[in-house]
Amino acid sequence: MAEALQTMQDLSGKVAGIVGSARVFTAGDLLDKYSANEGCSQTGRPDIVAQVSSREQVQALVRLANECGVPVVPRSSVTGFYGGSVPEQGGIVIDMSGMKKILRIDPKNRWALFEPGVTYGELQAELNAKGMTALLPLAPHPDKSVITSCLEREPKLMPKHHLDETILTMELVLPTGGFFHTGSMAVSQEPPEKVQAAAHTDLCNFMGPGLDWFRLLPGSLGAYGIVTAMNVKIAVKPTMQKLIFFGFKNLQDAVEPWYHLLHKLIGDECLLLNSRYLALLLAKEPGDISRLQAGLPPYTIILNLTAGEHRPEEKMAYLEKAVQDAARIFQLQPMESLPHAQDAAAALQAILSKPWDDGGAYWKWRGRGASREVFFLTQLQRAPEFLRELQSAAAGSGYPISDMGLYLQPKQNGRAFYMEAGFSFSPDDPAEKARAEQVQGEASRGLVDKGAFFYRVYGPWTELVYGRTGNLQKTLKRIKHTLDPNNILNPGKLGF
Amino acid sequence: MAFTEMAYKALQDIVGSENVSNDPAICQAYSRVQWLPSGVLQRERCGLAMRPACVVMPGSTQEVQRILQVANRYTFPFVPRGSGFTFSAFPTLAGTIVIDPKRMDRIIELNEKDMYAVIEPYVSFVGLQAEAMKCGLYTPTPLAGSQVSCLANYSWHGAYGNSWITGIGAQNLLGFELVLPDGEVVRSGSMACPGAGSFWNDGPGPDLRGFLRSGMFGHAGGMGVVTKISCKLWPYAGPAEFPAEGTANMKFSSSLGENWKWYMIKFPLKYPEQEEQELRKSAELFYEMGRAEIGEVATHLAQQFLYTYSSVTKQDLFDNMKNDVFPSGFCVVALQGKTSPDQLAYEDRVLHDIVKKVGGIFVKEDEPAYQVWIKRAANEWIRFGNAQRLSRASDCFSIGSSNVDSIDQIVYEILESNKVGRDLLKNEGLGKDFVQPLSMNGGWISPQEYGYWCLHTTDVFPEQAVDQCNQAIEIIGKVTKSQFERRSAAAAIHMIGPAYDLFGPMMGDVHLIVKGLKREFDPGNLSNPGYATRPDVVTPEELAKMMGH
Ligand SMILES: Cc1cc2nc3c(=O)[nH]c(=O)nc-3n(C[C@H](O)[C@H](O)[C@H](O)COP(=O)(O)OP(=O)(O)OC[C@H]3O[C@@H](n4cnc5c(N)ncnc54)[C@H](O)[C@@H]3O)c2cc1C
Repeated sequence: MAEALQTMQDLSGKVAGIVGSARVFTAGDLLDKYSANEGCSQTGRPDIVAQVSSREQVQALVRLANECGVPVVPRSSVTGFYGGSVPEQGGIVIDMSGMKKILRIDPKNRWALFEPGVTYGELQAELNAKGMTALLPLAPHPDKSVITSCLEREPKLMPKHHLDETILTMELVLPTGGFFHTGSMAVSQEPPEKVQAAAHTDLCNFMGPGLDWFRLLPGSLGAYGIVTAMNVKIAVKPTMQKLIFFGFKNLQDAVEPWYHLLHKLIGDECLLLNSRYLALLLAKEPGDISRLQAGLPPYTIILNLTAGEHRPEEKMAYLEKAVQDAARIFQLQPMESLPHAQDAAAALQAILSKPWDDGGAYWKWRGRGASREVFFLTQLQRAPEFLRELQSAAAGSGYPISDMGLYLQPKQNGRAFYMEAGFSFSPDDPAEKARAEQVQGEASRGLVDKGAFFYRVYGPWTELVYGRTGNLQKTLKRIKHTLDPNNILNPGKLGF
Repeated sequence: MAFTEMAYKALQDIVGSENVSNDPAICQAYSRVQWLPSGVLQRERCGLAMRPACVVMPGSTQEVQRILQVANRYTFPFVPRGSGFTFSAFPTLAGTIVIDPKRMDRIIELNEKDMYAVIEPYVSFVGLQAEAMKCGLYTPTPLAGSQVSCLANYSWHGAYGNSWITGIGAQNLLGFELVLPDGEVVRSGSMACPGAGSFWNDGPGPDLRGFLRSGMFGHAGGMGVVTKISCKLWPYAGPAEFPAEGTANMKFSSSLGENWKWYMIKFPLKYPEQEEQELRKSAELFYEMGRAEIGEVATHLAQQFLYTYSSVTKQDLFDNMKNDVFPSGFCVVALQGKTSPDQLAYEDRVLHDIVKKVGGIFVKEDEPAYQVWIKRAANEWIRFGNAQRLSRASDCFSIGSSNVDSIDQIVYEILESNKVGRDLLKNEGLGKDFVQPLSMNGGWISPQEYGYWCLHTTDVFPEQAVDQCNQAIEIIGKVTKSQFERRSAAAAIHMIGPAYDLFGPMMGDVHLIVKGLKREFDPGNLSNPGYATRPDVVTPEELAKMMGH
């Protein structure tokens, strides 16, 4: 430690010198908020929270942290889910949720450049006004930062291969405190929004320099660098769309037809929900959930057929014919509405195009107030096997299977599937909470044993997953050591 | 320490004496890349010492691991190699060994449903392509030619002309198994997790492909040996067996069946006088196609590409030039009916709308350009890449410039860098003996992933002679210098080998980061020294020349 830290007061004074004293918090309820996330039990109290408003402040704080040997935990979303921004070793939480500038939108090259505090709702409003759309996960929390969502690799509703990796260039503050530009942003050291004026680049090359940062940063939970600006791919807003539903009694029955639809490149947004999750999304009132759930097919594939600016009717016609052909091959009944939810198509179209903005509880928490989740990637052919594992973990813990939500999201036209199970519970009932957490733990262990691929690694999964991956964690640690010799950025998160 | 008899014996022990050789005749074959004459760049200083100390052929990951452990014990450098088509697969120091993967040539898995394959280092594109096509899948192909190693290409580079939807090597690599320079094995993606299979790329946690690759070029063998990868395969609606007629040089594939349709598009502009407008119109076409998300192939082929890639003999090349078969560059587009014939018909109508909107003209079937390109070269591109033909004009070729960014920036860079080249020819006579007029104008525009980004190269054709190749290097240097002066996005893609030291300080000191990683993982600098960063591979004077000073 270069300069021994005298007191908390010293440090908070220095932090205040950077962000202003009104933006520094060292005690009280506010710190509680930063000590936990909604979707996990992990807690960890920061010593200081600094609410920053500029890239320069982020950099100055990281430099200060290096001088003092104090951990720094970056945070961009107001509401966190899985503990990524809960401090493991105290230190300074850098809250970037106030950095809300959308710096540039380039409709021609189809990207938007913005700061970490920008949410999907804020971005989508700007994009829609320009005839464009953000690439959304399924009904994200209204507070969710787009940058965090990309860095956490939340699955996107759009399973097209070229829209799977959406990060283009980034500005980072490296763990040692220097600004660093990735991809073609690297040709100028001006602030991101000024790079295009200073250089001949449209910020479209995401690779390099030195490392492929657009891949190393996501999944690192802030351990390799803090992103202060990012441009991501956006898409042209469709001019026509039509939702089609396929209902299934068993998940196994969905496998072959779904592969077919995806390999034939039919439609855009595409996902499967079980009746529980679908009811949570569609119910007008929380009181309707059970009734709705009982009437819905156990599993529903939701497929959005879309057309753009060119001959939209003709495109819809060939897509609808392709759907009919698939239905004939697999003897399915495509539906334009759902039993007991006649307006499901219109309601879902709205839900799929924006963050959750119901005003009430977040949709995953609507059932009982809170939930624990298990999520991983799989090949579709193995999904039924993993579903059985989830169900047996639920049964083994006495968790009602009918309360378990299920979401499957294809990636890259079906090359892989994100699979998520949600176990809701009442947060006021400790026994219910314990049971949900028990299912989460049991299911995770069973799934990992069977080969479910836990690609996002949080909290208790760290040991479970990395423990089996040979030298992977050690290699990640060696990279960390090179980039962050003082172990300043979010220490402990990757298990080191 | 260097390579010793004891080290050689240890290698024999690992792979069997039949799989290691220090025979000078054999080693000589591993000493120089085929398309550069002796005496260019580092070869000038190293001479025969460029011959590797031995060539070793491991048969498994474990054998690779043990070879690297021996290299660390006796501290001799090693170069991993695929098919050896590029300069960085050759020794840069005396006493280096070459690791030739010829015995590791299995397609371990080809998964039809989940559209991926797991392959060893010596599987070529053409081998994988043939198997994939049988299952209704295929891969993009590098212009380097489909004889090259798919694994080497995906791990270190990968630039294609038929990648409008697939993207390049970076996008096609899924998981990998890597023997680190110190002999430790690390796996990335789902491959890392027992029982999870090889279907996926990122995680657990950070995506280690971000460490293996670094921009347009990976570490070029500077970070150990990749022993296995999984890679993407793509829906393909053509025939299961690649159709071809004729024999030898005159073997052509005129049709990929009713689900593939090729188009050549030109603009009513004078070439080369109105090249700028022609390139801008091509860019407009690609932007429109990207917004509409139509097409399977979309690329603008420079006149020089069209001539070289379509020629079947040298005579044919010069005859075609004399007959003005390709009076300019052309856009080449393919549509593939993957959903249904109706989808193909729909995309055909949209393409016609777009071409009309941007003022393009479809080349007619009876025009010589169509006959030569579409009937003789286009389908072969899907299978072969055919870059060997790039050297048809002069038995050599050199990149003039390249860039990765938006389609618009690509057009800008082609125009600017060609201008630098033409000025050098006019004012300094540089390139006056190259094959002309192929080396002065034009540019290959290869938009990727429906036009979200794009790459290009321009090419020049020196004879395979030292003075001409050195002129080509001088031209690249001056173009690069101008890219830095103009602050072109192109500056960000030059990071390989000694360039790190030159350009790193302008890019957030990235050379220090890469050197730090190299020190961490390869403290003895044994894994292909020179790549990632070793400034003494070329002399300071050579470096200065490469930078255009
Ligand atoms: C005329 C011509 C045209 C070309 N056009 C293209 C093109 O269009 N697109 C393109 O992508 N490239 C192109 N190249 C560059 C290059 O030839 C290709 O990238 C090619 O894929 C190299 O494959 P290879 O099997 O010959 O690999 P090699 O040349 O043997 O190796 C390439 C690099 O990868 C390293 N390497 C090889 N195997 C391993 C391994 N197992 N583990 C770690 N490192 C390894 C080597 O050390 C070397 O640095 C071209 C080259 C020429 C001469």
